[in-house]
Amino acid sequence: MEFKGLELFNSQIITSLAIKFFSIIFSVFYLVYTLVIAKQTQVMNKTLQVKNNHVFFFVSTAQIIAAIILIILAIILV
Amino acid sequence: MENNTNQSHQLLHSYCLNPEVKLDTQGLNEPILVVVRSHPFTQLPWIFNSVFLFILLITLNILLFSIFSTAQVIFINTFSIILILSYIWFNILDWFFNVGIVTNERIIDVDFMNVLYKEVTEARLDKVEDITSKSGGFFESFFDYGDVFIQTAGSAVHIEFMNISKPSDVVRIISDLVGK
Repeated sequence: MEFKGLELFNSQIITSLAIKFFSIIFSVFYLVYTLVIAKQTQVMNKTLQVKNNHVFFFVSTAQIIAAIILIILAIILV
Repeated sequence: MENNTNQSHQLLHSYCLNPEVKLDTQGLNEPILVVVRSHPFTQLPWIFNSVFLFILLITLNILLFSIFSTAQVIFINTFSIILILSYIWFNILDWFFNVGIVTNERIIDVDFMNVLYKEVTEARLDKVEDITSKSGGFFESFFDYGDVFIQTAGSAVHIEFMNISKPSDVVRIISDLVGK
């Protein structure tokens, strides 16, 4: 009985660690994606300059911040 | 920037006359006369997709609570919402920066394929040989959008404005400029 309980405990830890691992990996991938998009937005803004260009910069920065928050959440929360 | 007379933005900025826009390759005495984008109606698929994804996420939450812990569900929800918002933003960028521009000297087609690949095609007005507007189908006729094809002399450069608003107006403006 004790052995079975330990096995269940171990499998729960392994599942939890696997979820944490994949959460961090996906969050890091998302951060890379946001950095690429932010860089490309700069290129787009340079190519076509409109009156409210700062909106694009603001949203791109917000995306990067969201990606960093996701990584922190993945480390702490999951 | 200086040409503010008769400035107009129609159909959610998909058809702009004399807009306050600057190009990086724009000359000093080269005002931008027309900026065209895809008609808003052609953007409906990704808008519907986004709504569907939000509904799917809400529905999946019923299942998620029975499989994952509360902390994990919070993370999955946050991650999914951010991904859907990113998808929306990606499509907005794709729509906004894929433009067709007509100046008093050139016709320029700025394409950012999937946001990541940049392609700028331009043709001088004096090199334009043939302008074709194509608009067929129920929705194209109803919402007045279609394609404009511009062929230039002696080169392989062909400019295409796809699914733009008021294609016949754009053809008229270019024809007037070429005729001058």
